Amino acid sequence: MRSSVVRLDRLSKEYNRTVAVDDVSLTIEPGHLIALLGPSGCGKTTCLRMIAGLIRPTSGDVFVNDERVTDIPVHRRNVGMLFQSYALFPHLTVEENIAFGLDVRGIAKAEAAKKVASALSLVQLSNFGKRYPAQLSGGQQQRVALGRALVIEPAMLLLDEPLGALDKGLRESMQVELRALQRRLGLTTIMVTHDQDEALTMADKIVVMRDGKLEQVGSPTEIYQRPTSKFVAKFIGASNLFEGHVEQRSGGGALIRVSPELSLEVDEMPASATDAMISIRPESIIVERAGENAAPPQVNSVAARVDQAIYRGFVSHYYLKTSGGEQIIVFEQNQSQQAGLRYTVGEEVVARWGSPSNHVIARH
Amino acid sequence: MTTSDDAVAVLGVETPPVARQGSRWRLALPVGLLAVPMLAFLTYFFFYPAIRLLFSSILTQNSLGIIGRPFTLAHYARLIDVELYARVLWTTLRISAITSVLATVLAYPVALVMVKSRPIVTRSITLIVIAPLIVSVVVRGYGWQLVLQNGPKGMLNWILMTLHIVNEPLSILYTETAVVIGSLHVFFPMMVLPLASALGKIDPNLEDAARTLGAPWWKVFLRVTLPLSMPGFVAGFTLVFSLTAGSFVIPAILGGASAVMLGNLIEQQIFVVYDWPFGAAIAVVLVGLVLAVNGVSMWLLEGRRLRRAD
Repeated sequence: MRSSVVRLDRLSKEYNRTVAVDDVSLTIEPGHLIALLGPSGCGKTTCLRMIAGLIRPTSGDVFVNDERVTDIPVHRRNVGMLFQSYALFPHLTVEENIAFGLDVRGIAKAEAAKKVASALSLVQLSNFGKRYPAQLSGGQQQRVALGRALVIEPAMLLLDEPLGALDKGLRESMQVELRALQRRLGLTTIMVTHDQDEALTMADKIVVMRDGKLEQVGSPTEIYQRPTSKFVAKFIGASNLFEGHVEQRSGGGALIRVSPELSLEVDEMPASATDAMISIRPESIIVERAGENAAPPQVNSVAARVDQAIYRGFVSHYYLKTSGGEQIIVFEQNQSQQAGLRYTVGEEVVARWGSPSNHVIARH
Repeated sequence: MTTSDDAVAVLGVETPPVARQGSRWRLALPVGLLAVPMLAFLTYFFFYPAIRLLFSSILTQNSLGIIGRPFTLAHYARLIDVELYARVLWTTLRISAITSVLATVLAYPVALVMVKSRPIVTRSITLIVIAPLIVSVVVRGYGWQLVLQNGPKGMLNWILMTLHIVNEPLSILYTETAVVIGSLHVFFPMMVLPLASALGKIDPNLEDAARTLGAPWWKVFLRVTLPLSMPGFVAGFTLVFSLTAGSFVIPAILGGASAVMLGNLIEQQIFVVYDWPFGAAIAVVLVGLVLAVNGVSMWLLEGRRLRRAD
């Protein structure tokens, strides 16, 4: 299979003066899997459909391998697409479904049969060729859809919430499987999802969208560790967000005063800023019993009371309340030998964390 | 006859044990009882006459007009042997088939537009399609008579000649064409509505999937939309065919002498010639025809369902 470069150049789509996609420019490297991630109505599906050719952009262009495809109709674009509803043809058998793309291209029966057989084995459904879609489970149906999309040797694979209709366990194993297959084939893939876990699990690059615009583009690590906006910080994983003002500068860093009892030390602070928004991930906070450490540190630390404690198997969630009324969420990994929650509701604790965990958010 | 047996079976439904527990007997009344009044009505006013009709088609009418034994199949033989009657049978089949095919061809685009449009457009088209049903068939028949009037004064001829599309007036009225046009108008909703309902049930993603797989619009239609709309097509075709085959008013008003259909023949035999046994035989053939078309279409639909669920 070929690996294509897909480039979106100032792509926009308006419906009756409401802007669904607003000036999106993006390059997808060959063989990469990128995830368009965002809440419903953020324009991610419209974006995907414009790449497929199912929707005509109001302005802007789509390039595949530097060739402008904006005016090429969908049936000549050679894209493989997966839908949330699987979109299998109910009146055709699994084999006939997979052969559909070959048939409409006029590929000879014998050659098509060979390709169908290899596609069936690729998606591990060799014994299911004669069945009808209604006789298969959801996971099997999506595999058929995958086989049907891959058999035409598409220039790219487009996934529209492909695993959204599956239950959690199956969805997670399909994510890993789909990703492994995509890597092996080196197929440029664009996926639409509202599930941050799915994006983090599968994507080389995550594109967070909001109100039709790109909010942040980066690797899963970048997106998770260094969100550039409050929206991304809250949308991807959980975040403790604090607003404060610069109290003191030292080198590139600064001391941020959030409240009388909480000040944060950041290692890097834009020179001009006087106010700052800081995000701290719940898993980077350490909780200790009050009085356990003789002298709690002056910065990156606050005394609090356990407001809620939730046991979730491998992790426990603690919702802490400071005396100033701020809420702090802490995720603590549970060791295998441990019985359960380490702190009970109402207990006085101290939360502390290292200054590298303080991430300054540029836009808020 | 099986139907009246069924009716008896329903009437004789045994009360389930729960009903005998006293206080709850009202709730436990078999639901089948609700159908009793209508079944009684149908038994007396439909099944009984229908069976009488079936019987009289194999009885003999003597010179005094009294119908009785011996049993005979002579009426059926006459229907096939006498060229005139065979021709009427053939005309009926032909008009019904042409009407159904034309209705299908015309209804598909309308149904597609209904399904693919915004709700307001869909509702308007539905209204336009259904509107003619409000007007009596007789009134519509005479309306078409005015439109199709032979000679230069007829509305259609006048328009065609004014626009210089034809130079001589067309003779459409009192031909099969007129009957087909009239039937098409009367029974069009029966094709559009089932078709639209079937098309509406198709997941729009299927068509998108077919397009991404390389199918141009016409292949999408032929390979995905058309086969998946088959239930609607079969229902519509059966309805239009059956209704056209059994129609009486439209051929009577628009067909004249040259497009007599089975319905008109029955009317002649019963009310003009007073040959009840022969009229009954024609009626039985007509009912048989309609049942055959229904049976075949049901078989087609069942076949599809079996193939899918297997």
